[in-house]
Amino acid sequence: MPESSILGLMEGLLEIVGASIGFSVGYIALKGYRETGSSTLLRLTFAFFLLFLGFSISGLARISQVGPTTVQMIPTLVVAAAAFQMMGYFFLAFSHMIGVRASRTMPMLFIPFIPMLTLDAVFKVLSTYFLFYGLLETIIAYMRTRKPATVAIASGLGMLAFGELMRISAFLYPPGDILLVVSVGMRVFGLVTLLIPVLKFFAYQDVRRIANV
Amino acid sequence: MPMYRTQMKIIADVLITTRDYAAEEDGVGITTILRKANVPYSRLVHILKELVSSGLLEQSLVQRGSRYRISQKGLSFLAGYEKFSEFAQSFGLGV
Repeated sequence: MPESSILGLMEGLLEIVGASIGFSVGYIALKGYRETGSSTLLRLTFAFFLLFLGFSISGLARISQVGPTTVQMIPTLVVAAAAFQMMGYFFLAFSHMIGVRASRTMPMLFIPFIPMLTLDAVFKVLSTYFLFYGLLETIIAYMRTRKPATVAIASGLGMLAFGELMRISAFLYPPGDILLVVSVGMRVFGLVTLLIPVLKFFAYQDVRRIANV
Repeated sequence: MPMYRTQMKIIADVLITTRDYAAEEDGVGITTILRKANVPYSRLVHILKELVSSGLLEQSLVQRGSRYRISQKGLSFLAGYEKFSEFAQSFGLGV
């Protein structure tokens, strides 16, 4: 199997993992919104279901392309997947922006440099920007609350952000196979850490069930 | 950096106060809720009216005013709020 096919398969599997995690987190956030009516949880629901959509489309498209012949992924699918992921990261960053506005401090916004390559590249750059913004706000939130799970999420977002940055660099500065491999590794780690609140949530429910018995 | 509470957080603080400080069966007075939940009087009156009408609090009229007790529905809501608040805080967000 050619190297590019192996990388394509790795990225496809990574994105399927990302889709599963996105669905898990989005489902819990939806459950929370139904029980409490919280707008924060509604935004989290949108964020992670959009990520689920983006990762699913991209992952399935990549895996279906893996084979002895190199076939280009359908461009519409690539752009649609990147757009959904960008919107998901936007909602995540937007939730922090709303929180910053409530505390009456200036939100940390700056205009990202967007290389005018393809629409897919524009969405990827914006995704990276929103991830970095989310990372910074999560670190600030940790300094306020000192919750260990928040550190884990911050490190996960950081890995995702740097992973995306490496992926963009791999395409801008070919050949970028090593950068792509490192990018996949970082993004896997980043996505897996997003599972921590999900596992904590189910552990909390188990404890309550045992206590009620 | 001042952190302002969301409406949801204020409601949760009111419910927690009625849950934790209702020593006797007749409930908690408005002054106790004012002090513990740290909400201005005019806003608190409005919030208590909303919570009673939505069934999260039970109001009983006594000689010197009203007393408030958290209902079963209020306890369930609070349990859900605490569970999902922990979840949202992992992402550095407040509910």
